[in-house]
Amino acid sequence: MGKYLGRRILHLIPVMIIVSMLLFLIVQMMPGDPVVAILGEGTQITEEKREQIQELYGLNDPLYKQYFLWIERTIKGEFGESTQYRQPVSEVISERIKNSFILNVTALIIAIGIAIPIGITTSVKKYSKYDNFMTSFALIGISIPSFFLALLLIYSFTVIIPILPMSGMITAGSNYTGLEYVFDVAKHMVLPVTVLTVGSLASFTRYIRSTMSDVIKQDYIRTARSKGLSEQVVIYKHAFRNALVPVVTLVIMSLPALFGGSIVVETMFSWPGIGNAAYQGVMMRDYNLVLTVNLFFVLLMIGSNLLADIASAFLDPRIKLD
Amino acid sequence: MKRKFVKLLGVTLSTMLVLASCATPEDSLSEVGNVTEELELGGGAESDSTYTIISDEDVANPAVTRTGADNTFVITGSAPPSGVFNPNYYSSSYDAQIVNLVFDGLLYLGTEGEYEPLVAESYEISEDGRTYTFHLREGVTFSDGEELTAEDVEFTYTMLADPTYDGKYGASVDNIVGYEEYSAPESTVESLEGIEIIDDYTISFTFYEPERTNIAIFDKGIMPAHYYAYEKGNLDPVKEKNMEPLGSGRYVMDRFEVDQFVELSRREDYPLADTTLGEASIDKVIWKVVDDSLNVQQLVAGELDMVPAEISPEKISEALDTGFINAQVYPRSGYGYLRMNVREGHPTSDKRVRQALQYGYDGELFNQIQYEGLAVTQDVPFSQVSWAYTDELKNSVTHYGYDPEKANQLLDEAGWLMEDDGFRYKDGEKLVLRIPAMPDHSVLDTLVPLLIEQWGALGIELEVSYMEFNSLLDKVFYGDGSDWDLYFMATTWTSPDPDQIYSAWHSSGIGNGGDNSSAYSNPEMDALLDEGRRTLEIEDAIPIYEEVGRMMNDEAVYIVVYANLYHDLYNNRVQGVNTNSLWQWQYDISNFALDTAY
Repeated sequence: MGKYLGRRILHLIPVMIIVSMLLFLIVQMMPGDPVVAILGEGTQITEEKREQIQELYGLNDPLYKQYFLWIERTIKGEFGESTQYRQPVSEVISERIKNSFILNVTALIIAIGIAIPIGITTSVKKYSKYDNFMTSFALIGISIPSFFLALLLIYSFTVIIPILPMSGMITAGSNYTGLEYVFDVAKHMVLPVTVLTVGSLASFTRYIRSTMSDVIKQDYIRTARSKGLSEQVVIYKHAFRNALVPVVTLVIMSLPALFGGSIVVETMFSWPGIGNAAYQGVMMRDYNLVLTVNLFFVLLMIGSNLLADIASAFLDPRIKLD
Repeated sequence: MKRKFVKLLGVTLSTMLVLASCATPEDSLSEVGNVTEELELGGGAESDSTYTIISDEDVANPAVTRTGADNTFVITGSAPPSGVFNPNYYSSSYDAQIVNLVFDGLLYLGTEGEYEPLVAESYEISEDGRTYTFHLREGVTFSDGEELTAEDVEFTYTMLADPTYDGKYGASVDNIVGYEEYSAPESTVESLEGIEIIDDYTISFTFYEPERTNIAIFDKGIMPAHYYAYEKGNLDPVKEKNMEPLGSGRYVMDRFEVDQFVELSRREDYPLADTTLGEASIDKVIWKVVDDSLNVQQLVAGELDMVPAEISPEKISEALDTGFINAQVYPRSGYGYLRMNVREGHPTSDKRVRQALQYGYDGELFNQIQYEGLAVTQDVPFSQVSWAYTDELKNSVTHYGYDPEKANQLLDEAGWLMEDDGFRYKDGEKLVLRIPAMPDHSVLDTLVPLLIEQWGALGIELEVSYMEFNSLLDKVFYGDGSDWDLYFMATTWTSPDPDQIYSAWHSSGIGNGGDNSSAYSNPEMDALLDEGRRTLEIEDAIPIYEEVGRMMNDEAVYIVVYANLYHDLYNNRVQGVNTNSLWQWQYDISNFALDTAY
């Protein structure tokens, strides 16, 4: 196991180098004048000012030198200043990523919490009325555009029956602390979490249903049944545990998405997450912000891949890592 | 993407509204009818006038039940503030609103677009027009109690000349004497020669060139030197305080929650209460982040008190339909335009072709489709609210109404002749116009099909290539100009002074990144623009710019696609609203009052 881990991590080094080069090149190739991006759109720029800024930001250096300087700074943990927010990038993104995470992790837990029982029961009663109902329901959930659902919920629960706040994460003008604050945030989370949950619920349910269906067909389940175990024990102890392996992989693989924001949901509900900030970063040519956010996601991706491999080996002794 | 999105939302919303009120479908339809009538009445008013639509029906106003509603004014904008609440660094216009509330300048741009004294009690301009001397009011304090003196004024302007200054406003001080010496890299010069502190309350600025527009820099908010202190060559300490602004303005920022809201409270001890800008009476202002597609819905629900600068006819009707929302209607200070490439070899290098395109475009029809008539056409690319856009000028220029016959005639004259396939040719070359455009853009989605149809009828083929905004900028401002003939963009004039078109029309603006993307070069125009800039009195400048306007009209390099009307929609519990495109809510708020009689 240790040997395997060491090798995997060694493999990551060339991957990271190549990815960072690609990332740097792509951001360099974005159309747009970097000097305008730094100073702000609509700035009147004289030749002298242009020179001054290019010198100050090292834009006159050859590309390879800019790349190495960027790598050096990044390793030191200096991600530069966001031109859009005029703040260190680390400050701009850390709070927003945290906010996106709170929203996404809640939605994920709820989605899985609902998907597991539905997935199991539908796989046991395959093609029953109940199963068909759930299948159609899942289909609707997956097809409904999130902005539409968001609008529908906003209209229903803030205009017709005004019991929930329309937008934001805390009430503007409030001064809550402690439990009151938590309650306030929770109230603001209800609608966005619902939209996110509905979006992912369907695919989780279908996934669990299909892995469970596979497992139930296995010989060892028949064996368990034939030795006279109750259906409860067969399903929940023998079948479900085995079906859990791919589910765990699925959950781990969706970890990176937890830190990335959903642009639609975050914008509609004015949730202060990373999704919109990253999107605006690209539109506004906020080079440092775009680079840092993407680098962060690459790391997350690689990390969760590794974690998924380890977890499945841990849960399923048949998977050999070496 | 976003625009399409908004349109879809509109459809969705209206469907839901109909569903919600389906008990009496006839009623709801007739109500909508009334509002449209009302709007058309408004639209028929003088294009450059401002008016108010008052809703005064006896209906329940949901805003009054909001917590703390009796002393709080809640407003929004179409993008979140970036949190750069710094007069020398902000770039977003929403950050600018907060800056305007928290900081005061020596002067401010008044209701009619003229500069009025604020922190300065008075000022005089020297004989040669190069030196401005300001006399500061005594006893003006920042919100931490420290007094504002000439030193703070010097501090604020000197920062912009710093060798490492990387914000937007460097150009506002580069005409001050000593700028070059002070701003050179590694410069050790300690102060800007042109700024001289005479005593604590007197300061003078000397410019290299006497220009009328020099005065425009003096409405910048004054930053306290003791709070924003930095060493020359390192502005980091200033930027670190971007989210904790400290000024001498009418409001103090209490709280900023990123991407959610900004809370401000009124300064009880506002030192300039007796100036024309005056003291505000509303205790608290909340700038709330709301998605553009939901702003009017929140206004209708009473969560917001004002949605400024709305342009969508559907949303405006929805708001006015409630009976408790008023609209302050005013012409936008700017316009959307098509700009043509006049470089050699392009069909648009021929003035007759350009004029034909003007005659071949039906602006009235566009305004009807896009804005339901809440927009006007223009024959001169000036802001409607500029002092240079005089009746005299409007009446003395060619009116390019929709006239396909005339367009055809001009194209024939230019040698582009119609052939059997329905297109025009000259020397065997087809008349093709290449237009780079942004995809999913609400204006272009209407404009491009209209142009294909109307110009197509004249025998012109329009070749559209779609690209994202920054790619378009690269192409038209940084490219060699060989691969496009015209493009669409919109502009906003931030002051009524027409000098801001200087770089877009002067031959010095041609080339790498310059504003003159058309490569329009005309010594007569250059001379007029130079003369206009040097003319210190507005009265004397007007005839010069009228001449500029007439020349622009004749040269037809710009087609003004539309100049729309903005609607500040507000809850009718807010009294005293008198905004226009130069006098925006953040200034006018001093005159607002909340009616608590409900």
